[in-house]
Amino acid sequence: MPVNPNLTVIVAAGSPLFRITPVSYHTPNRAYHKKVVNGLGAKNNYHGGRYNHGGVVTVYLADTPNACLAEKMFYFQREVVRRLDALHQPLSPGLPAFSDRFTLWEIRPKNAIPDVCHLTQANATAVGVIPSLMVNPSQDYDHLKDRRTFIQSNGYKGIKAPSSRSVVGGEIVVLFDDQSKNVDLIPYTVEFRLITRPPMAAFGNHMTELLDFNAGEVRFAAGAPAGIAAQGGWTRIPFNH
Amino acid sequence: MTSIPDFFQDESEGALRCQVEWQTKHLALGDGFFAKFLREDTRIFCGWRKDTDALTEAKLNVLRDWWQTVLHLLSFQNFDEEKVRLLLQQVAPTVSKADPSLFAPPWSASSMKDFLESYGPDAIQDVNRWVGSFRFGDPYRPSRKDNACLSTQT
Repeated sequence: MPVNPNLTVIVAAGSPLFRITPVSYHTPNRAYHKKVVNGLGAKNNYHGGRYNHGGVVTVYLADTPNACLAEKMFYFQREVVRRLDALHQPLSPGLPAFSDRFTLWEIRPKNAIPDVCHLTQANATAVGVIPSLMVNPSQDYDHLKDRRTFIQSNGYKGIKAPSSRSVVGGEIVVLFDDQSKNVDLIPYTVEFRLITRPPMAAFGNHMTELLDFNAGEVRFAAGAPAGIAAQGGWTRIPFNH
Repeated sequence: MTSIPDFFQDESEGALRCQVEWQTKHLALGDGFFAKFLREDTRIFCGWRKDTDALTEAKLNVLRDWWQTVLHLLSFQNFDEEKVRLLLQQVAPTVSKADPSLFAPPWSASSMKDFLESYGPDAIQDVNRWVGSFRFGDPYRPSRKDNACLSTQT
């Protein structure tokens, strides 16, 4: 089955996309920043990702800062909760921190990326994707990994699909090729913290406080991408759980 | 501004030496550890650190793979070097194979450091899988045969 032009979008040259990484990618030498989009993180991750089996180059991006922050907040909170779940283990990795710093990257393609399969509720079934699994936030599904393989084998260069974790819209852009030679990157340092249920406060005591499972907060240290409240205060980031 | 040195993301041989030196200083992983882990003579490894001896490209690639795991561990512990050092050295009690815990590490009855020394490069994937189970995988899912770790293989 060849690429169906009715299902595709083009990721335009210069259009802003976003990704969050550990701060270890934010080196003084900008030449190393390209590693943020080489897709090897997904390839080397045994578990695979939402739209990839392990062992496959995949670059995960979001088309808005809010979608990117919501996606990351979900995974940040999930890891904290899993580590709380493991506290009773004889070799627990210890009490997790309820806040952390990351680098949010604004990523602009130098050249347009064509033939990106645009998955919406209306057209997902054209490539065999079950729409509900695409937007269900509770977990990643084998079905989506399998469909990515199918979509890529038909000649598409990526997938654009709804962010299942963002509550304010936004889409994720999943590219099948290393983009390290095709992007300009701008790094922003961002702090994440978990929060309590109302009355809202920073989550700091797992034995006495109740975690808000649907939101966290972020704060930018010095500068922020357009569309995000700039430095200073904390911004609430709601997400689907 | 950032305080992350360039060698954190550099993959050159010179950067590998800086990474080893950093691990020695910050994580207490010395020449003895690296020699055992790489299945290399300690004198040759020390010589490589001083740039008077050579390691094979395969062993340099093992050091590159291990550094990626170190970056994962640092990120996992919020870049707290002390916590990573403890995580490497903490000895786990024996875990019953009949009653495996969801998050039990594959280095039952030993430490991650001992596990790496014993199993060498093959242990890297097991450490990655353990960290990944908290971050990306689904530890609550019934385990599959092909997920077996070194410590559970017969």
